[in-house]
Parts: sequence; C-alpha cells; structure tokens
Amino acid sequence: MRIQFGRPLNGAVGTVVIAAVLFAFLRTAGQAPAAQGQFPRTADGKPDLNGIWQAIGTANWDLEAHEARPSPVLALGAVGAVPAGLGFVEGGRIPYQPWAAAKKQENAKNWLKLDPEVKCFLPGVPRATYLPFPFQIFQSPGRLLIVYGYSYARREISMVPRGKGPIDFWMGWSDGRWEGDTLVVDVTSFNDQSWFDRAGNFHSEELHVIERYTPITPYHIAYEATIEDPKVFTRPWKISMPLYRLVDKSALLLEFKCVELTEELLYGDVVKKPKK
Amino acid sequence: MIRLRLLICSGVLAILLASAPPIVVTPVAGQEPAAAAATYTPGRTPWGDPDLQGVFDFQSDVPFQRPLDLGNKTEFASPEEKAAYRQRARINQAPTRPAAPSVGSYGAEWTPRNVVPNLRTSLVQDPPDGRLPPMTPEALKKYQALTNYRRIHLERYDTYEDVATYERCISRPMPRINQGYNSGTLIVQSPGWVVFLYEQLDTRIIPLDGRPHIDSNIRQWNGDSRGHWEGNTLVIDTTNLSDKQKGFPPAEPLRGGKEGLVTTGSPLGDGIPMGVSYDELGRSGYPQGNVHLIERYTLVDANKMNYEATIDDPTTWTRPFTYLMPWRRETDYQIFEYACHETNYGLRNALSDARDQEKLAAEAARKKGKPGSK
Repeated sequence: MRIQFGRPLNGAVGTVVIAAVLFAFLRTAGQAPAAQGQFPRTADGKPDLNGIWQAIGTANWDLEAHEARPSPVLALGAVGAVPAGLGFVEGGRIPYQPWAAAKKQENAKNWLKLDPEVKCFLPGVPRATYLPFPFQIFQSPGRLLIVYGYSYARREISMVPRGKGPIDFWMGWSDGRWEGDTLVVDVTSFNDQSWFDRAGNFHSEELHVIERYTPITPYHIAYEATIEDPKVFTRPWKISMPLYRLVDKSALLLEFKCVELTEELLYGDVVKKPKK
Repeated sequence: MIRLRLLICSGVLAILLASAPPIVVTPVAGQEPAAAAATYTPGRTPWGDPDLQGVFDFQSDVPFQRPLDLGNKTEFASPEEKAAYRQRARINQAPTRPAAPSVGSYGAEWTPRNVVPNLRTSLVQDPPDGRLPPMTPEALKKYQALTNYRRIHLERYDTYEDVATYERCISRPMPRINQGYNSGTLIVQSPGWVVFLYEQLDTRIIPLDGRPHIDSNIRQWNGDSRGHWEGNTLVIDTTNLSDKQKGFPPAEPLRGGKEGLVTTGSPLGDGIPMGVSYDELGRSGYPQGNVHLIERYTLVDANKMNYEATIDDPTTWTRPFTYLMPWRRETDYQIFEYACHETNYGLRNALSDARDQEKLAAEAARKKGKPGSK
C-alpha cells in the first residue's frame, strides 16, 4: 500500500493553513520551528532537518501487509505478539526471485534465532529509520549526521559524493545531495548481514538503497526508500512512510546499549556455572 | 515573501560572519604559549556558536601521573629534553604487548602512533603535584577488592562482566584518557546541540538549552550531559553515570619511588606486581555512579584543542582532580563504522577457553586422585 502524503512543501495554501494551526497549538514546544507554519530552513536556504524524529507503525515487524500473529515467546503473551500492519511496500509484495522467496520463508520461521536485531546487531538501512526508537539528525554546513537511539547505530552522510565505500559496512556508505527540498541519500557498500524487518526480509551484499527525505509540514518528513538488489529481487521496489518530529521540549535520545542486554543470550552457555 | 526574508537574513548573517574573523597564533613547536590559549578566537557557526567542528585525535605519550623523580617540574623545556628523559627512564607509555607477533597480540598496523605533541610531564594538572589525590578509605577497600579479583581473573574470565567494557563492545571509559587506536573523534554542531562521535563505540549528544539533568533513576554508560558556552570554551557537565562504568586510576610505571624503584602509581601503592600491564589494572577501576564530571573544550589555535576534565566524586576521591589532554585536528581521518559486537568472536572464544581450561584442570585433579591411573 502506498501512503498518500498530500502535496509537498512548496505547494498549496491548504498545507500552510493546517501547519499554522498545528504550530499555534504547539507554540510552547521547544522544538517548534519558526514562524508562519513553514518547515525551518538553514542559512543556505535548504530545509533544516535538525531535530528528533521517529517513524510510527509496524514496518519493523513486517514491511508487508500482515495480520496479527502470536508471540514466539509464550511467556510474553500479548506483549510479544505481532500487531497487524497495513504494509509499506508499493505494490504490496516484495518481488523476490524464487530462490530468495524460499529463503525468506525459512528466515520467517526461524526469526528468533536468525534476526540480527534479536542479537543487538546493527540494523542496516532503511531498517534503522523505522526501528521503534527515535533518531536525531544533526545538520550543519557540509555535514549531516543521523544518530539512532538503538545500540551504537549512526551514519555520517557525506554531502560531497564519494561513490562506493572502501569496504562493506552494516550501515552502508552514504552520499547525500539536495534535489530541491528533498534530501536524496545514495547508500551502497552493504554487507549481507542485516534484515529489513522481523519477518525475515533480507538482502545480499549487492544491496543499493536510495532514500528520499522530503519535508511536508513543519513536523513531518515524507520518507521513501527505493531498494535494489539484483541478486535477490526481480526488480527494484519502494517503501514509504511519514517521519514524525518529537515536539516534547525534553525529548532526548536515551541509551539503548543493547549489547549488554544480550550477553546472557549470546554467551550464557560459556559462562562459569556456580558450584552446586 | 519567503525569499525576501531569506535574503535579509543571509545579509545580516554575512555581516556578522565578516566581522568576526578567527585570530590565528602560530605556537612555538611543541608548546602552546599561555597567551595564545587566551586569545585565539575560533570561527563561528552560522547561528553564532564558536565552531569546534571536525575530526580530532587525542593519542598521548604523556603519563597520567607525574613521575616521582620529576618533582614539581610541570613541563619539559623542549622535545629534546623530553626525549632524553624518556630514554633514561625507558618509559614506554603504550600498552605493554609481547614483542613478537602472535595470535592475540597487536602488530604494528594496530598502533600507528599518532601522538599529539605535549611537553607537560603529566596529564593531571590539579593537584599541582600532578598526582591523583588519595582515595577515601571506603573507596580504597572497594578498589582493592576489584583489583584482587582482576588479578585472579586476568584473562581467565568467569563471565562476560569480567571483561573490559570496550572488549565487550559496550562503551569506552568515561571520560576518555589515552587510547592506543581508533581514537578519532568527530564533533558536529547544530543549533542548541553538540554531538561527539567517538570512532570507538560511543556517541554523546549534548543539549545546550539548559534543561535539567534526567532523573537519577536513569544511569547511562556515558552519563547525561549538558553543555553551555563560557566565551569560546564549551563546558559540559555530566552526571547520571552508571556504576557499571569503571574509571581510573590507570596504574603505570613511575620512576623514582623508594630507592629509585619503579612504582605503579596505584592508590594501592607498590603491591601491584609489575608483570601486570597498566591497562589491565586500569580496567578494574572504581564504580562511577557518583561522579560529577566537568569537561572544557577550548580551541587554542586552528588545529589544536585543549581538553580538560575535572572529576568530582567525594565518595571515592578526597578532593576533585583535573587532567588536560591536547586534541589535534585531523584533516584526513575518516571515521569508519565500528561494528564491534557484530563479530566479537574474541569474547566468546576467551570465555569458552576458560571453561576448557577448567575442565582440563578438573580432569587432571581427578586422575591424580585415582591410585594406579597414569
């Protein structure tokens, strides 16, 4: 299902009116952008993406439309159950090659054992964007940084094109540029270790992601990611979702250093057992 | 209408920027004249904050504490005098590693030394004798217990918690002192924020808006930081550190103890055997939950920044102490992803090896106990 965003920033009066109302309502929020309901801009006229943002929804559970599913861990009951999701993939289904479709099913069946997120491994792109944690964008002349609230995930986005990275990375290697008011980020040089979600959707080291960040109201960015991997998929495919600005004055990324929280899971079998 | 406002804003900014050029003072090699430190004015960000952005490195060959035989000498007069002293003292401040490469040791490619020149005789600047103040009696007891535990479990780990926090891929000690590698640090600023991207593991996000610290129930490996400007100095106040974070003191060889013997500079005195490398002991540390840390970042010229850290923890130290490290701007240092935990086979292997050693020892003990067996 493709999410309809409404008209982009340099479009209609309607957007401005809604934004102005929102702004008036939230005028005491410390993060509220400047006057007149426009998306804030930096001194060089570009959209100012600085702030704390978060995706809402079920993308991290499963990018494709799905019904609610029971928890894989019985003791967690409803807390561990998978909520239903409308899906985020344009066209509905991820276009796997036949061998890859079978692998996806295997992944999904064994996701507790295989999902890198369970082990607190780096999430890759675009999964980092829609994890259930806020992230913060730092933008200054010539610099763009995204720090995610999960583990030590972060990305430096080069605003000077560099092409492919020197080696492969979990979070890829990012080149950014502006196309009008859209930040376009070209991400290459991935390894094949990360997943797209908790449902076993995966990729190879040939993954190539193009992200687009387009402000649509002072509090929303339209996020799109085009995913291309000739080893795994029959054609490129696209996901999209809004990103929401955290407007609470005290909004702050807290540590989620989950490495510590997964040590017993990963190393419990080689820890000295107390003498009985 | 928007375009006109932008035009006016850019014009005002241009005037502001043009009227505040940086003053560059070229220091004498190896020293920062005190006058330069007081008068260097960095450039400004477009929103008017002093601009500290860029990649810096902070490798150091200066001991944390002043060697005893240097007395009250705070600084060497020249790089030559420093080199001569080091030659006589045969002090090597790099972590002690075996000379011959073997599995598990660091070859030359791991430690390209990128040491920032510094003629001071110690990192500690206050107390004025360049030495750590005494620990409180209670803290000393805790530290002794931790050190004894560490001595027994040196690379015979019972559990992952026995391992240094950075070898578990969780966090580097707070605050940072010398590192042998991966010490590049990227500073990025945005209106109301500063962020430090340490190559190794940690990212620290610092709000500058004066909001209060988070609730004391929340403890973090990097604590909770608030920043503000004092002139051109960025001052960062950090609390809410976790007791799981283990800091100071690094035990290191200090010449000039009793009868010229080398001491370890440890609060436990000379009871620490010199076979133990200083950073092993540095991992024992003491719990940092009560630390109040004040850091000050000041550009002293276009390419050098003084980093001063004051540790105030009356439950551990009988008085606050301050150390100073110069950070040097690096123009060709690309910070790479540090996917440490994702392939931390060393940790698993170290733990399973310890279990194997225990099994072998138990087997041997059983065989010894049986008469007639080989």
